[in-house]
Amino acid sequence: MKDTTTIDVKRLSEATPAWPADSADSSPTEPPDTSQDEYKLDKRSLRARSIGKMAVFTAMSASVCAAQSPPEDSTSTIEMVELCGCHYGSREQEWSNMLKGIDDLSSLSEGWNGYDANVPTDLAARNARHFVEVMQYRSCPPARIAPSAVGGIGITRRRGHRKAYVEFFNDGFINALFADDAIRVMHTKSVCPSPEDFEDLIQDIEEYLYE
Amino acid sequence: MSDIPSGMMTNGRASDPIFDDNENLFRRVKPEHVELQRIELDAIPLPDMSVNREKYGPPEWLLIEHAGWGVVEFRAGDIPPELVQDGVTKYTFRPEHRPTKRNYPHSEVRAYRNGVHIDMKNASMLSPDAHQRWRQKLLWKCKVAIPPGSANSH
Repeated sequence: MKDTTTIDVKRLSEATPAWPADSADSSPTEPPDTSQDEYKLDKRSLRARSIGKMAVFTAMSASVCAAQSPPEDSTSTIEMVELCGCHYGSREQEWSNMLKGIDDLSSLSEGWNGYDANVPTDLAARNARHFVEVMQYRSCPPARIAPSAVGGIGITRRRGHRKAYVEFFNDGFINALFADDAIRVMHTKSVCPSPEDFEDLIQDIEEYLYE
Repeated sequence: MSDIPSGMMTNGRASDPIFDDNENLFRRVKPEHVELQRIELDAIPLPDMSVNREKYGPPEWLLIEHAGWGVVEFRAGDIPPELVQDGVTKYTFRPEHRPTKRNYPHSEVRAYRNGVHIDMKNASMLSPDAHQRWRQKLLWKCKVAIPPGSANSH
């Protein structure tokens, strides 16, 4: 998969058909795969300009969600949207399954890993769930959600040889690990369970994975 | 309960405190913890990580009664021996032979903070940051010894 660099802007309304935000179909079929020359993407800020209707597009390794808004000026760009560097947009059912999967982790048995791992607590599950909800809002799906052998839940996002691993410990602590397997360098970050910290963390993750 | 090899039974044998740096230590993992050669961090626990030592048994013994699982390995000398947190708190790590009645090779990788053993009861002595950093360091040294679902994993 090629790295996203720049993509020329075109008026969204002149591009491919939109994927309506208010569609009754909560799990729409694959949106049209727009060409990479539909958007101007700033790789550093992970933001792109688009115009017009709600739509989800794939653009190489990135996806863009454009908020629905009538253009005030037919010649001007309208909406700044966030590019989260993930595959195309959020499917309600898949997100719903992820969130349910987190809830289900509390029903594991002690020693679920064949040794003596503790079951994730309600507190760990609650924090993990809130984080995934923010990921959903940002359309940045995790690569993996799983119970952690230390007790708690681990959520991973990956790109190439880099990963960001957010661990929700059973006692309520949350710690994020950023690791590069190719050069074996890592750093960590402590996180508070607040929407603001979760938003900041997701931004950090995307910058790390896409720098 | 499956029959286990006679060599696995402790039968009164004493523990052996000596670990050569090149001795492999084996840990059983669930299939979802391994994707091709990539091992997930949540397969590596602390404190008191249970392993089997190569000196007293092969990795296949870990898969008795765990058909389809896998085994990862690392050398005793690859265990990060210490971690210093904030320039003040010193954690040390080492393998210790802890045979059980039916598993003589059973050992543990133990953690100590300023010389005090950290176990599940006082696990909060190990900061989340140190926790993750140590586990990731070790993970980078791990290899897949028996892939999940392979012939050797029954």
